[in-house]
Amino acid sequence: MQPAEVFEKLKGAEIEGVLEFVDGPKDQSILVEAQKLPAILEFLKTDDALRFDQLSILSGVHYEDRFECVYHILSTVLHHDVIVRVNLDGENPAVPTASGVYPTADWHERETFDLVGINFEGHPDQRRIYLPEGWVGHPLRRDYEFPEEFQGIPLTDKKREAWEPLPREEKTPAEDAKQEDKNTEK
Amino acid sequence: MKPDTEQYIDVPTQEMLISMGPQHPATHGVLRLVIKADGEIITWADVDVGNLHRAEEKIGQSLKYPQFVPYTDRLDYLAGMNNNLGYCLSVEKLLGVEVPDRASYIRTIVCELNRIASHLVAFGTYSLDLGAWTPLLYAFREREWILKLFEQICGARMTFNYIRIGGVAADLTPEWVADCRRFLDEQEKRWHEYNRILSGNQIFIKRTADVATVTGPDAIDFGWTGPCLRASGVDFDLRRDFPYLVYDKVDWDVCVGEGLKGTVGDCYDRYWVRMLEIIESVRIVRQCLDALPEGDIKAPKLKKVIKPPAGEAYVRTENPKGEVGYFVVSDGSNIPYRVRIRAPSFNNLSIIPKVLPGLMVADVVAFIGSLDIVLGEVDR
Repeated sequence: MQPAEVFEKLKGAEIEGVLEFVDGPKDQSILVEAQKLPAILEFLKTDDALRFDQLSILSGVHYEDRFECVYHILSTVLHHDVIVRVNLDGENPAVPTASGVYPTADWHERETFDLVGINFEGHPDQRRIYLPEGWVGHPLRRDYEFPEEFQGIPLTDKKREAWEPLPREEKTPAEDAKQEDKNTEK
Repeated sequence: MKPDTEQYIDVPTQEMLISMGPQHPATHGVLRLVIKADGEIITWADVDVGNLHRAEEKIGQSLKYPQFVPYTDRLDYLAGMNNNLGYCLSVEKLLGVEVPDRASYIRTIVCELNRIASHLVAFGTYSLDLGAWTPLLYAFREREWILKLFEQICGARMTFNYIRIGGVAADLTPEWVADCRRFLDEQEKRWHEYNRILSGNQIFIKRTADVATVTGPDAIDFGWTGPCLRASGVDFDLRRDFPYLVYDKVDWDVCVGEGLKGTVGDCYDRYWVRMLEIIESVRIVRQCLDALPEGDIKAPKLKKVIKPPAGEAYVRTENPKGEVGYFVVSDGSNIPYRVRIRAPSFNNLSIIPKVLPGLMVADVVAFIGSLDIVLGEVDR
């Protein structure tokens, strides 16, 4: 079943909280309301024509002004997949946990909480999974600054120059063409 | 089969807290388990991961698209080719690039060879976990041949960086193809040696059959994929059900656990499905070598500066351990906006707090070995 058909089915079943069908250039997804997410996932999992029984991956993405949680789910019986996403507040991102529907979400949510800093309401055991207890901040946020020390242990070498991330170039097409020529000349 | 604990009820015992690892030879890396045991019976278990955390996702969003390919080798370092492939397929989907036929065939060949190598390590180390030394030496003998084949095409034995965005790094020579065919013939013969030395061994069967059985619904719920899921009796393989590369053009079978020596989904089934998959991979590689077309090995129209249009892509691929997927978000610049990695071992491991309670302490090693985890991709 194609994502568009899944969306029609959700609309037809009059499930609350289904917002819109996001027709991206590559992957299509279904945008839903954060508070209604567990109920929608439950429907997707249990409906006989859908049977999305496995959560493949849960990703948290931080955009400049908001957070996004993306759920890739698939059906091991009917061999189709769909993407469900929620938009979250940029200040205090929180979404109800999906671990009641998909037990595998437990660890994925702990990881997303650890690295992106999204709160999962009602999670049975929300603590950091990779970074040590007491770590400050969430590294995959765009405004994260690497700490100078952790509990008295220095993390940066002052003798060395600080590592700067590569610049995000947004060159014009003309510059691109120039670069192309250079590469081909070699 | 869970042991009958009723008979121990009258014996006064005290719960003991055991910290297993992170430096423990049976944990396949730096995995730490915290176990509460009442005598020999486990009553509670927790997993502590993160000792090998190298911030792969953070690196992914700080480097240019092609620069991240070598880092993917370090995730599941026993199957570097398959990890290269997952990332490259996602970026190619973003770019909308068509990969030439020859490159697709070469990718299939190296990925399946890598699957054989990974399953051989699983076979060898599993026997080692359960106290048998010799099978490891048998397994590494054939794995060495595969690594030499890889060394010939890309210069590296484990960290390949061979599959690149748009194609592969180097072409296969006729000598390489001939050597590969010799390997396949030899592998098929030697596969029977493994069975003679381990698969029918009574001690091995007693340690694995009916131990730590995981049912199909549980396996699906906890995100199991790959050989572990199929061992639980679920007939699902991404290569067949979500086809990529040339898997839909070759003839092969999905191996599903049938409870050969015990119940469906026990440790022996997980071991046996891997053994069967070695033979299936040999079949796939042989057919790909026969059908290998002539042509380019890299997409000819691909620009040197890789700058995909804004959007996001996720491609599922079947790693030796399970489903590997890279969720790549692009903002139109030359650096990915976000790279999220799905690692199969991470999901396979998450069932431990549910399965271990009720087992014997000695079965912990048998269970973890049968999962065939690689901590490089658990911790990322």
